[in-house]
Amino acid sequence: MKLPNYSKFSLAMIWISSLTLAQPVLGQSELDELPVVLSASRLKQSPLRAPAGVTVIDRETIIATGARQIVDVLRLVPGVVVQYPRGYWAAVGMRGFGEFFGRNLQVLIDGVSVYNPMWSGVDWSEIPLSPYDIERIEVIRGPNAATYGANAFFGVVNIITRDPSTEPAFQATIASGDRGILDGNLRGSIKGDIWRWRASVGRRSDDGFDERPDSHRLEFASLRGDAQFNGQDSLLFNFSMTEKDAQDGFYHLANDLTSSQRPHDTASHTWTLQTRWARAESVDDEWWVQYYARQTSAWDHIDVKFGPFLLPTDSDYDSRRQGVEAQQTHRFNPDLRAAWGGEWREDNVRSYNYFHTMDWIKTHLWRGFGNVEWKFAPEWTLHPSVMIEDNSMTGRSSASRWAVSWEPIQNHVFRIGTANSRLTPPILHKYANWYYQITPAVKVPVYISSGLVGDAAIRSNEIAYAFEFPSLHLSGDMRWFKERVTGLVRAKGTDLVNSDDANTRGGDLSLNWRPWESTHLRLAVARTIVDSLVDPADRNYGASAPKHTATLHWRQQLPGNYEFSATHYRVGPSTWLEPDQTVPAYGRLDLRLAKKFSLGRERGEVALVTQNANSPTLDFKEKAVVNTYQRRTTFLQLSVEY
Amino acid sequence: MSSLFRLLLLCFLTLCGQVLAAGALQPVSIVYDEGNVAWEHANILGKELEARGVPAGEIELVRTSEPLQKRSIVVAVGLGAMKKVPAGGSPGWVGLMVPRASVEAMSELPENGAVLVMDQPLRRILDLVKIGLPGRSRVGALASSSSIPWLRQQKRLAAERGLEFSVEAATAETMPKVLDGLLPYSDILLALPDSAIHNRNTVPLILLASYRLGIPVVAYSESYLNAGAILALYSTPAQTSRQAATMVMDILRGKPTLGIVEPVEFKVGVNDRVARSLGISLPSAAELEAKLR
Repeated sequence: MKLPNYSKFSLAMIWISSLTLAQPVLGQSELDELPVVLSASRLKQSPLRAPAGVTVIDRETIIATGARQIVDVLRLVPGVVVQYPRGYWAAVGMRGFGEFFGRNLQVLIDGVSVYNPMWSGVDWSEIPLSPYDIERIEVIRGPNAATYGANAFFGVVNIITRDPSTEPAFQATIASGDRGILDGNLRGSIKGDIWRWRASVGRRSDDGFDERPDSHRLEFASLRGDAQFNGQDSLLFNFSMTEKDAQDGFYHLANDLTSSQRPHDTASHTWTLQTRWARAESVDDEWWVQYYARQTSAWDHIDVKFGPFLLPTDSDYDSRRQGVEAQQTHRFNPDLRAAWGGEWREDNVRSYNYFHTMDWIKTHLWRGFGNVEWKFAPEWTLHPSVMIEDNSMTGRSSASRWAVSWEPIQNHVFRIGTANSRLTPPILHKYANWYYQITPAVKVPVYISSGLVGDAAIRSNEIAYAFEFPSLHLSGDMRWFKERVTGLVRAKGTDLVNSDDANTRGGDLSLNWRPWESTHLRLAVARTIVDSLVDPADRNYGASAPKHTATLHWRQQLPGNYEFSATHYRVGPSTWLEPDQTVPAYGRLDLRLAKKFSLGRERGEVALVTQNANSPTLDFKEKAVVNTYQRRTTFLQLSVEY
Repeated sequence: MSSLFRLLLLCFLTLCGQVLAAGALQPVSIVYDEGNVAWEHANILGKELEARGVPAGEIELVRTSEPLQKRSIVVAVGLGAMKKVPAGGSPGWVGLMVPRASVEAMSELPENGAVLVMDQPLRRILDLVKIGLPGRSRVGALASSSSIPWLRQQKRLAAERGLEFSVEAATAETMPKVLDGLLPYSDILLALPDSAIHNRNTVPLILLASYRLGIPVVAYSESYLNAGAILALYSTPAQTSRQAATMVMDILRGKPTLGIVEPVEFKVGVNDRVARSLGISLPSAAELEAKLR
């Protein structure tokens, strides 16, 4: 089903255009004190010498994949599986344990978590960014709660947006094609003596899978300002908002009045605010303090027939998060560097359907952490990290990570490490009081939480080797890991309890090679084995992880300002933790051919993208419905900037 | 023997005193631009001149916005201060903390003096690139159009070291686009002092754009190094002031240096955190300095 068009977008376009009429103010003296641009918080993690496995995906690669939204780019990370239970809703898994909300990853945009406290997990479709907004994505493979806090369970996705100073004054992009794809984005930036601003508005919509009523339309707007008051002090201001309209349900239940899964409309609205003041005296001496707030409101109404009664039901909820965070990095001497900080956070959720009260349910969190990087011998570096958290839901807990790296030959680093992390349950699991009151005497429970559910935990050990051959323009890393996961949550009757344990083991390999100036190759391969410690017939954790995943990305500059890229994904079979959700092995080939052009002062790029060029891909299966990407979804992308 | 030595020493000191006393008849005005950097240079230079025998009473520190004493030797710190140097008729002048690009843009220099440019000798910069960043050979730089002819003449210095040197002309307005075109064909970006190209508004773009492509920036000041360049070759305020003081003393002795003078003393700075993030291993600053000497 298609959704009507929307006019706010065009008004916002006019506003962006007017922003760009302002001229930059330039013409300073070389005697000016220059700001610290590449401060510790702006530097990317070096995959070679980071204390954990890190994959960095830069902007050129993001654009070259032809991805319409950020989550698709994560397929370039070894071991990451991206599946779409709905055409707009991506579930990301890193070690299997597949589920709708993909709760095992922490996701940060410019240092602010976009984790939803109601459900936990991330609604990727609501991220208010287009691929053109991104500077780079850093993915930490493996638990890292010692730095990022609970919920950095299997990994962390750190999205860093572009600094307005690197933006064109104006950029317009549009993409249109099969499956009703219609995406657009307008961006403008202005640069003054102190402030640099970027405004971006955009939309993304498509018709979803043929098998489902899952059309969606997302509209987003963001404003970012960076002020540099002197050589040390800067202020970041970020505000973004999204509005999403989507459909949900199953076509085959269209006439079943007893099902809440009849095709129906849903909507949600989210805004995020971030302001950060930083003082950077040098690349190694920086501290910052930030305040952030985020609110989501979701609407999902449908009437359901219970016996003779047709009852209005809803799955509405509001969630609010705000917090204050401070961090300092300091270099004590050339061999000893440390970062430490603390955070206070408050989460509030409200939903009559899930809690049967209109009161806000509040939780709060305190945490403090410290990381040290100590080069204790010429070839040896120790990386200890500790995080202590006090969460009003689950009490006090700690997480740690220890890694020792050895670089016997320059650019060849061996690492051994151990880490533990925790996964805080979502507020819904802790306080669920979810039932349907049919009559004053008849109550149909869904989840009634006893409140005993607590954290799940993971202990991970790894051995890794990272390397770089600068003369060959070849770099990469490989790692072997063994993990024990305890206290996984599952339903017991109508309660939710920590009952299941599992062991995981495997390895992954990344290679980046630039054999010629014009050729980029990336390979990501992973093998994951999950050993369920509960009866597989009961809960098959073992089948939840594809045993093999492989991604090959090839980007080729061609004469005449053409660029070709091909990305092939190969994913082994897996079964989600719910029954009947088996996805067989599949291969998917995405192709993109782009041509850059220049029209006087304007520059642009036109690109043709074909996803699933090889064969139909079964992406996800739920009950009788199989989400299938038909062969060849093709769309045209046009980008113009000056 | 010892009384003869004492007599000779007395004669020598008397002669020196007379020379200095004769020179000190010329007051020295140190004119400095706004900002801490110029102020710091002016102060250190004043102390250096005092240490060399110029009476403190004959040295005045003057802001660019203030009037000058008549007939003084003018030491101009910064481009704004250079404009205070009389076109002719001054007993002598010295300019410092002025980029070569600004000097090249002037139709002619005032008479009786010289400018100690901020720019390190290109030969020295290219040697640093060669030693510090082996395996990288394509050096790109942006410059104002007035500097282009001089810079292109220096390409042979790069060729002698097995380096390619690409210089593109840019203005404050065209810089972002020219940088965008230059970076894909460079594996080192050389920042040369030029306020139209490198200033507090443009340096974030230059550093972030080059960093994103993994291209190290080799810069001309400690401030630029601190901002995010990987290497910097520069003269400290003390080093610059020593050389400028020597030039002032030469004027007092009636042997002024004329034209453009390049820095003699220098320092190398290394930003090893940025280097590490770019996956580049660098020798220490001391090691690089020793090799350049």
